[in-house]
Amino acid sequence: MHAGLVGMPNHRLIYVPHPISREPSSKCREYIEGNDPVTGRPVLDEIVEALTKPLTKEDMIESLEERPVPRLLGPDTDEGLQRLFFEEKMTDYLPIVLPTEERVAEMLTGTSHKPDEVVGELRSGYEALSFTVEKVAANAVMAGARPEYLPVILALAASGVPAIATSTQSFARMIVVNGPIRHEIEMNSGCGAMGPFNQANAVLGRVATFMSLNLGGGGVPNLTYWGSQGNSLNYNHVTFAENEEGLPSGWKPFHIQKGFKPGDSVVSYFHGYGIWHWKNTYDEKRHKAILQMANWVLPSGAYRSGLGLLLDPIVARDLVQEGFPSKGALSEYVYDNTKLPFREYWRYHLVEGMTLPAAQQGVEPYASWLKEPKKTMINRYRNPEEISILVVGGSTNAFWQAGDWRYIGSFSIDEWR
Amino acid sequence: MNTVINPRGQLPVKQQIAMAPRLDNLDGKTIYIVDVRWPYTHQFSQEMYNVLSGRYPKTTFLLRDKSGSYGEDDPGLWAEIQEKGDGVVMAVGH
Repeated sequence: MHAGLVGMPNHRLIYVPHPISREPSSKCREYIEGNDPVTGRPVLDEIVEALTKPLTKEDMIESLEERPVPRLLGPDTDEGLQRLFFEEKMTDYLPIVLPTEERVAEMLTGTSHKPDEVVGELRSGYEALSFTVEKVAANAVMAGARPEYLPVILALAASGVPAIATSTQSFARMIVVNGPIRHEIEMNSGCGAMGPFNQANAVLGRVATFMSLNLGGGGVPNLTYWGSQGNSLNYNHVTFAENEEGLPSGWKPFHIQKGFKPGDSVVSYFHGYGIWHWKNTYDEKRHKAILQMANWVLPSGAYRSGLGLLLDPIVARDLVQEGFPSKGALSEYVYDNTKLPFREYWRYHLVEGMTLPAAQQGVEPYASWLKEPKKTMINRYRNPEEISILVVGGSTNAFWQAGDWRYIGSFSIDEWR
Repeated sequence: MNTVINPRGQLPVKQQIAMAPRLDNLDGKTIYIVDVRWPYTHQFSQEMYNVLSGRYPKTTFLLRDKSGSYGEDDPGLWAEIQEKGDGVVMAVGH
């Protein structure tokens, strides 16, 4: 499928039943000696045929094909255009605001950058598409954004990070905004910040998905999206502003941890699958309970895992009283107390698939880990920086959430004002 | 009636690549079986090697693990196959 999309349409593919991972050799032999579940023909015959059947003229074509994309769609009625966006898979199948030229022009007042400026490239499917400021503005209109959100959206677009990936796993993103723009666009960092109670919080993640579909060429199930179950977070991901005002003394806002200044406006992207809610608030110290959540995350290595702790301000204050004067101190504690036995570490699926090959190639630190005595405990996380701590919530109770959120990067919003 | 700005980005130039020439038959040929190293699927590639070697004794099958993880390139192996091989079967697992 991939080969066909990028230039080898008749690439010879043969299928066997799957999954084959961890299946015994006898089952694998049965599959190889059996029939292709797609064509119904014997797999072995197909292998030989793929190697020996003469090429057709079409198989031997070498060509370059320009694929111009028209600037405008329509004219049509509003109903017809809504239907077109659905049919062409350019939306999340909820109603959109149609990006008329007038609306896009108004959206463009949210930035000083010119409409035809190339922002960058995004690859959500198998190809990297390029796009301009105007294209980003069109997606922003569709999602219901206001012009003042546009610098945040342009920063997300320019990051080159797609919100939706092709993988058979069903990823989502976490999107966190820090700095003065939180107030300028009236984002919610308090009560219900991760719920559907604020326009900016709701819209920014939705635009990220639209940009993956339209600027990244992804999001078509069984073609450019293979997530077996999908992820409802992809509607708008986990999008909020950090409650910088709720941070206890000594705890720095996330963007400052990443080297930005307090007055900078920054958006940070994280990769993961979902969130877990912790509500057992009275039985033990919070830092002990956090370890239980931290131990749910897949071990990190060449496949980078991560933990995102989303703490209500009450919990953050409690943690200071429990002996954690900074976010960094808590990250260090989690890093040091979530080790796992050598054998358990190396048998994890993605450790076997990604970290072991790297270790065998001599890539450090994995090569050294592999040489450790079998009784060694291996760190679940590669370093404390893989444990991100964010304060969010309205102090209505001492709850917190966590997720397998791996930090991707932080991106300047101010560059796009 | 309305027109709207097309929200889609610019697709890159699509390059169609000619497929490699096929073989007349497998006799006397060297066929690489490449395991891309999806986790815990090596037994599949090994069985493919066993079955093909048993069924086509006049053909030399070579089983190779691609270096690195399943998503990484391995130019060295591709060069080896181009120099020494007549064909390749790549097993992409799940």
